[in-house]
Amino acid sequence: MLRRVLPLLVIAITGGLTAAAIQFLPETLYFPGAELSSPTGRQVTILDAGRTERAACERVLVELAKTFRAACGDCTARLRCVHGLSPDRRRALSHERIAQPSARGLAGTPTVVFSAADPRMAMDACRQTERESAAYAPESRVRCFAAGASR
Amino acid sequence: MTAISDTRLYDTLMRLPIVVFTGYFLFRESIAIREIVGVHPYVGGDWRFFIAVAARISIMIFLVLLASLHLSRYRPVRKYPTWVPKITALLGLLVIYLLMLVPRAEFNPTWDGLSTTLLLVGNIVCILAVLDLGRSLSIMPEARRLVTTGIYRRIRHPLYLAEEIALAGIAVQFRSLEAAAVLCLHFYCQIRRMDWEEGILTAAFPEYADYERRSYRLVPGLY
Repeated sequence: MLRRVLPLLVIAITGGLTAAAIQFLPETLYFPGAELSSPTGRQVTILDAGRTERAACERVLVELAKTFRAACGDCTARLRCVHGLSPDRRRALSHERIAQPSARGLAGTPTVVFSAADPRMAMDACRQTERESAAYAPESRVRCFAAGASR
Repeated sequence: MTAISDTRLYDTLMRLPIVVFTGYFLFRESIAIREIVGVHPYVGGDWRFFIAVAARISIMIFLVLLASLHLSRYRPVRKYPTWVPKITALLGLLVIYLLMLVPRAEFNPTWDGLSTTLLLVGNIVCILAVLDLGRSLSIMPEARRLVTTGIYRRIRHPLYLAEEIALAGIAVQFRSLEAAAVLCLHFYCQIRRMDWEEGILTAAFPEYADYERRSYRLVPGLY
Protein backbone atom coordinates (compact mmCIF):
# COMPACT_ATOMS: atom_id res chain seq x y z
CA MET A 1 0.00 0.00 0.00
CA LEU A 2 2.73 2.44 1.04
CA ARG A 3 4.62 1.68 -2.18
CA ARG A 4 1.60 2.58 -4.28
CA VAL A 5 0.97 5.92 -2.62
CA LEU A 6 4.65 6.77 -2.14
CA PRO A 7 5.10 8.86 -5.34
CA LEU A 8 2.00 10.90 -4.50
CA LEU A 9 3.12 11.22 -0.91
CA VAL A 10 6.58 12.51 -1.89
CA ILE A 11 5.07 14.98 -4.37
CA ALA A 12 2.55 16.14 -1.75
CA ILE A 13 5.24 16.59 0.91
CA THR A 14 7.47 18.52 -1.51
CA GLY A 15 4.56 20.71 -2.61
CA GLY A 16 3.38 21.24 0.96
CA LEU A 17 6.83 22.22 2.20
CA THR A 18 7.25 24.58 -0.77
CA ALA A 19 3.94 26.30 -0.07
CA ALA A 20 4.80 26.49 3.64
CA ALA A 21 8.21 28.01 2.85
CA ILE A 22 6.65 30.72 0.68
CA GLN A 23 3.93 31.40 3.24
CA PHE A 24 5.97 31.39 6.44
CA LEU A 25 9.61 32.21 5.60
CA PRO A 26 8.83 35.93 5.01
CA GLU A 27 8.10 36.05 8.77
CA THR A 28 11.80 35.38 9.38
CA LEU A 29 13.01 38.20 7.11
CA TYR A 30 13.55 41.94 7.50
CA PHE A 31 11.65 44.04 4.97
CA PRO A 32 12.84 47.59 4.34
CA GLY A 33 9.95 50.01 4.04
CA ALA A 34 9.70 53.78 3.68
CA GLU A 35 6.68 56.01 4.06
CA LEU A 36 7.03 59.45 2.60
CA SER A 37 4.62 62.38 3.04
CA SER A 38 4.90 65.55 0.99
CA PRO A 39 3.56 69.00 2.04
CA THR A 40 1.09 68.73 -0.88
CA GLY A 41 -0.60 65.74 0.77
CA ARG A 42 0.89 62.98 -1.37
CA GLN A 43 1.95 59.81 0.39
CA VAL A 44 4.36 57.30 -1.04
CA THR A 45 5.16 53.90 0.44
CA ILE A 46 8.19 52.06 -0.88
CA LEU A 47 8.62 48.35 -0.16
CA ASP A 48 11.70 46.35 -1.07
CA ALA A 49 12.72 42.68 -0.98
CA GLY A 50 13.15 41.01 2.41
CA ARG A 51 16.68 40.55 3.74
CA THR A 52 17.93 37.72 5.94
CA GLU A 53 19.99 40.10 8.11
CA ARG A 54 18.79 43.26 9.81
CA ALA A 55 22.09 44.99 8.93
CA ALA A 56 21.50 44.36 5.20
CA CYS A 57 17.98 45.74 5.55
CA GLU A 58 19.28 48.88 7.27
CA ARG A 59 21.79 49.45 4.48
CA VAL A 60 18.87 49.57 2.05
CA LEU A 61 17.17 52.15 4.28
CA VAL A 62 20.26 54.35 4.22
CA GLU A 63 20.21 54.30 0.40
CA LEU A 64 16.49 55.07 0.36
CA ALA A 65 16.97 58.00 2.75
CA LYS A 66 19.64 59.49 0.44
CA THR A 67 17.31 59.21 -2.54
CA PHE A 68 14.46 60.88 -0.63
CA ARG A 69 16.55 63.78 0.54
CA ALA A 70 17.66 64.42 -3.04
CA ALA A 71 14.15 64.07 -4.53
CA CYS A 72 12.04 65.84 -1.91
CA GLY A 73 13.86 67.93 0.65
CA ASP A 74 10.75 69.08 2.54
CA CYS A 75 9.05 65.67 2.70
CA THR A 76 8.81 63.78 5.97
CA ALA A 77 9.99 60.20 5.81
CA ARG A 78 9.51 57.25 8.10
CA LEU A 79 11.97 54.50 7.32
CA ARG A 80 12.15 51.20 9.11
CA CYS A 81 13.01 47.55 8.79
CA VAL A 82 10.04 45.40 9.70
CA HIS A 83 10.57 41.82 10.86
CA GLY A 84 7.96 39.81 8.97
CA LEU A 85 5.35 40.93 6.51
CA SER A 86 1.89 42.28 7.27
CA PRO A 87 -1.01 41.07 5.04
CA ASP A 88 -1.27 44.57 3.48
CA ARG A 89 2.41 44.68 2.58
CA ARG A 90 2.40 41.10 1.30
CA ARG A 91 -0.51 42.02 -0.92
CA ALA A 92 1.20 45.19 -2.14
CA LEU A 93 4.27 43.14 -3.11
CA SER A 94 2.19 40.47 -4.87
CA HIS A 95 0.45 40.44 -8.29
CA GLU A 96 -2.92 41.09 -6.63
CA ARG A 97 -4.90 44.23 -7.47
CA ILE A 98 -4.69 46.99 -4.89
CA ALA A 99 -6.81 50.09 -4.32
CA GLN A 100 -4.02 52.62 -5.02
CA PRO A 101 -1.80 53.26 -8.04
CA SER A 102 1.48 51.38 -7.71
CA ALA A 103 4.79 51.09 -9.52
CA ARG A 104 6.58 47.73 -9.51
CA GLY A 105 10.00 46.50 -10.52
CA LEU A 106 10.30 43.62 -12.99
CA ALA A 107 10.54 40.99 -10.26
CA GLY A 108 7.92 42.72 -8.09
CA THR A 109 10.41 44.67 -6.00
CA PRO A 110 10.67 47.48 -5.32
CA THR A 111 6.99 48.26 -5.12
CA VAL A 112 5.93 51.88 -4.67
CA VAL A 113 2.37 52.64 -3.59
CA PHE A 114 1.00 56.17 -4.15
CA SER A 115 -1.92 57.78 -2.34
CA ALA A 116 -3.32 61.30 -2.18
CA ALA A 117 -6.61 63.04 -1.44
CA ASP A 118 -6.99 63.52 -5.21
CA PRO A 119 -6.61 60.09 -6.92
CA ARG A 120 -5.39 61.76 -10.14
CA MET A 121 -2.50 63.28 -8.25
CA ALA A 122 -1.50 59.81 -7.01
CA MET A 123 -1.70 58.38 -10.53
CA ASP A 124 0.36 61.28 -11.94
CA ALA A 125 3.07 60.62 -9.37
CA CYS A 126 3.04 56.93 -10.30
CA ARG A 127 3.44 57.70 -14.03
CA GLN A 128 6.17 60.18 -13.31
CA THR A 129 8.06 57.54 -11.32
CA GLU A 130 7.79 55.13 -14.25
CA ARG A 131 9.09 57.77 -16.68
CA GLU A 132 12.00 58.69 -14.43
CA SER A 133 12.98 55.06 -13.93
CA ALA A 134 13.38 54.61 -17.71
CA ALA A 135 16.78 56.26 -17.38
CA TYR A 136 18.02 53.43 -15.14
CA ALA A 137 19.18 49.89 -15.95
CA PRO A 138 16.33 47.47 -16.87
CA GLU A 139 16.42 45.73 -13.49
CA SER A 140 15.90 49.09 -11.74
CA ARG A 141 13.01 50.23 -13.89
CA VAL A 142 9.44 50.22 -12.58
CA ARG A 143 6.11 49.98 -14.33
CA CYS A 144 3.09 51.97 -13.18
CA PHE A 145 -0.27 50.28 -12.59
CA ALA A 146 -3.53 52.15 -12.03
CA ALA A 147 -5.61 51.57 -8.89
CA GLY A 148 -7.45 48.23 -9.14
CA ALA A 149 -5.51 47.19 -12.27
CA SER A 150 -4.17 43.70 -12.80
CA ARG A 151 -0.43 43.85 -12.04
CA MET B 1 40.96 -8.65 20.67
CA THR B 2 38.40 -6.38 18.94
CA ALA B 3 39.78 -3.91 16.40
CA ILE B 4 38.83 -0.25 16.99
CA SER B 5 36.99 -0.22 13.65
CA ASP B 6 34.72 -3.03 14.90
CA THR B 7 33.55 -1.20 18.01
CA ARG B 8 30.16 0.44 18.48
CA LEU B 9 31.87 3.75 19.34
CA TYR B 10 33.73 3.76 16.00
CA ASP B 11 30.52 2.97 14.15
CA THR B 12 28.73 5.82 15.94
CA LEU B 13 31.57 8.26 15.27
CA MET B 14 31.56 7.34 11.58
CA ARG B 15 27.94 8.48 11.40
CA LEU B 16 28.65 11.94 12.79
CA PRO B 17 30.36 13.62 9.79
CA ILE B 18 27.34 13.12 7.55
CA VAL B 19 25.09 14.68 10.21
CA VAL B 20 27.40 17.70 10.43
CA PHE B 21 27.67 18.00 6.63
CA THR B 22 23.94 17.67 6.19
CA GLY B 23 23.23 20.22 8.92
CA TYR B 24 25.59 22.71 7.31
CA PHE B 25 24.21 22.29 3.80
CA LEU B 26 20.61 22.36 5.02
CA PHE B 27 21.43 25.67 6.69
CA ARG B 28 22.96 27.02 3.45
CA GLU B 29 19.96 25.90 1.42
CA SER B 30 17.54 27.41 3.95
CA ILE B 31 19.29 30.79 3.63
CA ALA B 32 19.12 30.52 -0.18
CA ILE B 33 15.39 29.79 -0.01
CA ARG B 34 14.81 32.69 2.40
CA GLU B 35 16.59 35.03 -0.02
CA ILE B 36 14.43 33.84 -2.92
CA VAL B 37 11.24 34.18 -0.88
CA GLY B 38 12.34 37.64 0.30
CA VAL B 39 12.22 38.89 -3.28
CA HIS B 40 8.93 37.15 -4.02
CA PRO B 41 7.01 36.63 -0.74
CA TYR B 42 3.80 35.27 -2.30
CA VAL B 43 2.64 32.47 -4.61
CA GLY B 44 -0.14 34.28 -6.46
CA GLY B 45 -0.49 31.58 -9.13
CA ASP B 46 3.10 32.07 -10.22
CA TRP B 47 4.05 28.45 -10.87
CA ARG B 48 7.49 29.31 -12.23
CA PHE B 49 8.39 30.73 -8.83
CA PHE B 50 6.73 27.80 -7.04
CA ILE B 51 8.86 25.34 -9.07
CA ALA B 52 12.02 27.32 -8.35
CA VAL B 53 11.38 27.00 -4.61
CA ALA B 54 10.26 23.35 -4.99
CA ALA B 55 13.59 22.54 -6.70
CA ARG B 56 15.45 23.78 -3.64
CA ILE B 57 13.07 22.10 -1.19
CA SER B 58 13.63 18.81 -3.09
CA ILE B 59 17.38 19.15 -2.51
CA MET B 60 16.74 19.59 1.22
CA ILE B 61 14.52 16.49 1.28
CA PHE B 62 17.25 14.54 -0.52
CA LEU B 63 19.87 15.68 2.02
CA VAL B 64 17.64 14.70 4.94
CA LEU B 65 16.99 11.30 3.33
CA LEU B 66 20.70 10.76 2.76
CA ALA B 67 21.55 11.61 6.37
CA SER B 68 18.73 9.61 7.93
CA LEU B 69 19.70 6.55 5.89
CA HIS B 70 23.23 6.62 7.22
CA LEU B 71 22.10 7.27 10.78
CA SER B 72 19.72 4.35 10.96
CA ARG B 73 21.89 1.64 9.35
CA TYR B 74 22.90 -1.68 10.95
CA ARG B 75 26.45 -2.38 12.05
CA PRO B 76 28.35 -4.38 9.38
CA VAL B 77 29.10 -8.10 9.53
CA ARG B 78 31.99 -7.84 7.09
CA LYS B 79 34.13 -4.91 5.88
CA TYR B 80 36.57 -4.30 3.05
CA PRO B 81 40.06 -4.65 4.51
CA THR B 82 41.93 -1.98 2.46
CA TRP B 83 41.67 1.82 2.52
CA VAL B 84 41.25 2.65 -1.21
CA PRO B 85 37.61 1.48 -1.37
CA LYS B 86 36.84 3.33 1.85
CA ILE B 87 38.37 6.58 0.58
CA THR B 88 36.59 6.23 -2.79
CA ALA B 89 33.28 5.62 -1.00
CA LEU B 90 33.79 8.65 1.20
CA LEU B 91 34.76 10.75 -1.82
CA GLY B 92 31.60 9.56 -3.57
CA LEU B 93 29.58 10.87 -0.64
CA LEU B 94 31.48 14.12 -0.25
CA VAL B 95 31.21 15.18 -3.90
CA ILE B 96 27.44 15.41 -3.40
CA TYR B 97 28.13 18.23 -0.96
CA LEU B 98 30.92 19.61 -3.14
CA LEU B 99 28.40 20.07 -5.93
CA MET B 100 26.40 22.44 -3.76
CA LEU B 101 29.42 24.72 -3.32
CA VAL B 102 29.56 25.43 -7.06
CA PRO B 103 27.98 28.80 -8.07
CA ARG B 104 24.30 28.33 -8.90
CA ALA B 105 22.83 29.27 -12.29
CA GLU B 106 20.06 31.86 -12.69
CA PHE B 107 16.39 30.92 -12.28
CA ASN B 108 14.98 29.15 -15.29
CA PRO B 109 11.53 27.54 -15.15
CA THR B 110 12.43 24.77 -17.63
CA TRP B 111 15.65 23.76 -15.88
CA ASP B 112 14.07 24.18 -12.43
CA GLY B 113 11.14 21.98 -13.55
CA LEU B 114 13.54 19.31 -14.84
CA SER B 115 15.57 19.52 -11.63
CA THR B 116 12.47 19.14 -9.45
CA THR B 117 11.28 16.15 -11.52
CA LEU B 118 14.66 14.39 -11.30
CA LEU B 119 14.91 15.07 -7.58
CA LEU B 120 11.37 13.79 -6.99
CA VAL B 121 12.14 10.59 -8.93
CA GLY B 122 15.47 10.22 -7.10
CA ASN B 123 13.82 10.72 -3.71
CA ILE B 124 11.02 8.24 -4.53
CA VAL B 125 13.46 5.53 -5.75
CA CYS B 126 15.59 6.21 -2.67
CA ILE B 127 12.66 5.68 -0.28
CA LEU B 128 11.52 2.58 -2.18
CA ALA B 129 15.03 1.12 -1.88
CA VAL B 130 15.19 1.96 1.82
CA LEU B 131 11.83 0.28 2.43
CA ASP B 132 13.43 -2.92 1.08
CA LEU B 133 16.91 -2.41 2.46
CA GLY B 134 15.89 -1.42 5.96
CA ARG B 135 18.93 -0.59 8.01
CA SER B 136 21.45 -2.56 5.91
CA LEU B 137 22.81 0.55 4.24
CA SER B 138 26.44 1.65 4.33
CA ILE B 139 28.80 4.22 2.82
CA MET B 140 31.88 1.96 2.85
CA PRO B 141 31.84 -1.41 1.09
CA GLU B 142 30.47 -3.48 3.98
CA ALA B 143 28.17 -6.49 4.21
CA ARG B 144 25.24 -6.22 6.61
CA ARG B 145 22.39 -8.35 5.24
CA LEU B 146 21.58 -9.56 1.73
CA VAL B 147 18.39 -8.03 0.34
CA THR B 148 17.01 -9.43 -2.93
CA THR B 149 13.34 -8.52 -2.71
CA GLY B 150 11.22 -5.57 -3.84
CA ILE B 151 13.13 -3.12 -6.01
CA TYR B 152 16.29 -5.18 -5.29
CA ARG B 153 14.80 -8.14 -7.16
CA ARG B 154 15.80 -6.57 -10.50
CA ILE B 155 18.34 -3.89 -9.54
CA ARG B 156 21.30 -4.62 -7.30
CA HIS B 157 22.08 -0.96 -6.49
CA PRO B 158 18.85 1.07 -6.57
CA LEU B 159 20.16 3.51 -3.97
CA TYR B 160 23.06 4.42 -6.23
CA LEU B 161 20.61 4.82 -9.08
CA ALA B 162 18.47 7.09 -6.86
CA GLU B 163 21.52 9.09 -5.81
CA GLU B 164 22.63 9.52 -9.43
CA ILE B 165 19.17 10.67 -10.57
CA ALA B 166 18.90 13.11 -7.66
CA LEU B 167 22.44 14.37 -8.19
CA ALA B 168 21.69 14.96 -11.88
CA GLY B 169 18.69 16.95 -10.64
CA ILE B 170 20.92 19.03 -8.38
CA ALA B 171 23.51 19.53 -11.16
CA VAL B 172 20.77 20.86 -13.44
CA GLN B 173 20.30 23.77 -11.02
CA PHE B 174 23.98 24.68 -11.36
CA ARG B 175 24.50 24.07 -15.11
CA SER B 176 28.26 24.56 -15.35
CA LEU B 177 31.38 22.65 -16.35
CA GLU B 178 32.28 22.32 -12.67
CA ALA B 179 28.88 20.76 -11.92
CA ALA B 180 29.29 18.34 -14.88
CA ALA B 181 32.80 17.42 -13.67
CA VAL B 182 31.52 16.76 -10.13
CA LEU B 183 28.70 14.62 -11.55
CA CYS B 184 31.18 12.55 -13.61
CA LEU B 185 33.48 12.14 -10.60
CA HIS B 186 30.54 10.99 -8.50
CA PHE B 187 29.46 8.49 -11.15
CA TYR B 188 33.00 7.10 -11.34
CA CYS B 189 33.11 6.73 -7.54
CA GLN B 190 29.72 4.97 -7.60
CA ILE B 191 30.93 2.47 -10.23
CA ARG B 192 34.00 1.69 -8.13
CA ARG B 193 31.82 1.37 -4.99
CA MET B 194 29.57 -1.11 -6.79
CA ASP B 195 32.62 -3.18 -7.84
CA TRP B 196 33.93 -3.37 -4.29
CA GLU B 197 30.53 -3.82 -2.71
CA GLU B 198 29.75 -6.75 -5.00
CA GLY B 199 33.15 -8.24 -4.14
CA ILE B 200 32.48 -8.14 -0.43
CA LEU B 201 28.87 -9.31 -0.77
CA THR B 202 30.03 -12.29 -2.88
CA ALA B 203 32.51 -13.16 -0.14
CA ALA B 204 29.97 -12.73 2.66
CA PHE B 205 26.93 -14.35 1.03
CA PRO B 206 27.39 -17.47 -1.18
CA GLU B 207 23.96 -16.89 -2.80
CA TYR B 208 25.09 -13.48 -4.13
CA ALA B 209 26.63 -14.95 -7.34
CA ASP B 210 23.26 -16.40 -8.33
CA TYR B 211 21.50 -13.09 -7.48
CA GLU B 212 24.07 -11.28 -9.66
CA ARG B 213 23.18 -13.50 -12.64
CA ARG B 214 19.45 -12.80 -12.47
CA SER B 215 19.55 -9.03 -11.78
CA TYR B 216 20.88 -5.80 -13.30
CA ARG B 217 23.41 -3.61 -11.63
CA LEU B 218 21.73 -0.23 -12.10
CA VAL B 219 19.28 0.03 -15.00
CA PRO B 220 17.07 -2.98 -15.85
CA GLY B 221 17.72 -4.21 -19.40
CA LEU B 222 20.73 -1.91 -19.88
CA TYR B 223 23.38 -2.20 -17.21
